[in-house]
Amino acid sequence: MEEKSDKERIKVVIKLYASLRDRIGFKEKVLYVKEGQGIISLLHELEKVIGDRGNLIFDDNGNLKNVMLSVNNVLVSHQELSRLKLYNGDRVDIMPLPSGG
Amino acid sequence: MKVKIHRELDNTSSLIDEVKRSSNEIGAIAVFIGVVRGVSYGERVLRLEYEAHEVLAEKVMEKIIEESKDKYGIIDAIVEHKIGSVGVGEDVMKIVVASRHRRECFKALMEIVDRVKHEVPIWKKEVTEKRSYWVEGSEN
Repeated sequence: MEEKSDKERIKVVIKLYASLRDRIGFKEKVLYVKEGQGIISLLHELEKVIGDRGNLIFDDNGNLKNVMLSVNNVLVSHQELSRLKLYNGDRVDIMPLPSGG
Repeated sequence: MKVKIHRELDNTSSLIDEVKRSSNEIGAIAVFIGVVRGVSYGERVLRLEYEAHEVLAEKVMEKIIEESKDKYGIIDAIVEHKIGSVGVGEDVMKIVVASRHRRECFKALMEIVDRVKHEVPIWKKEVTEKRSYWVEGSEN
């Protein structure tokens, strides 16, 4: 199957918070992905960009670890990840586990 | 119900008055105030720096209060948490719970405090004499 060109891809903004932002090294990144792609695929795209620092998001088995996720200011549970699709202009927040109080 | 993420917290007496006004069925009010400790793991703490996802944090706080009302039958609650730099001895979190009787009030307060610490997207960086580091959260 042919890869979609950048023009056919959608824009998704990824925003990082607190320790993740400081360790990965940026606050915000725009990625262009296929429409309807899931968050896990998006995070693997991000992993390609951040290299070894992907281990802050995925464990050795490729499972998500120690992060909270939200799409357009709505929290997404890890159970919901597989069925949630992304659309043009979506914003995905990747956050460390809370440590307030 | 009131939730607030801000650089300044409201006066405790005014929070108690506010929650008291919500119903004449209230017979118990419990208050928790989190304060910045001056020593952490043997190191002298200079300050804590808090960051939050403010929109999500307020949504999660509201959900915690609603669920606590359903579970314990409390009448009302207020949750406030500071962001920004907070010095040693300063208040960082205030939680006020009002109910008909004391038992559900204490239980609800304990659970709300724990849930705010573990579920609300707020993060703290500890700045000590020797270093500064983000405190890692845990699942529970």
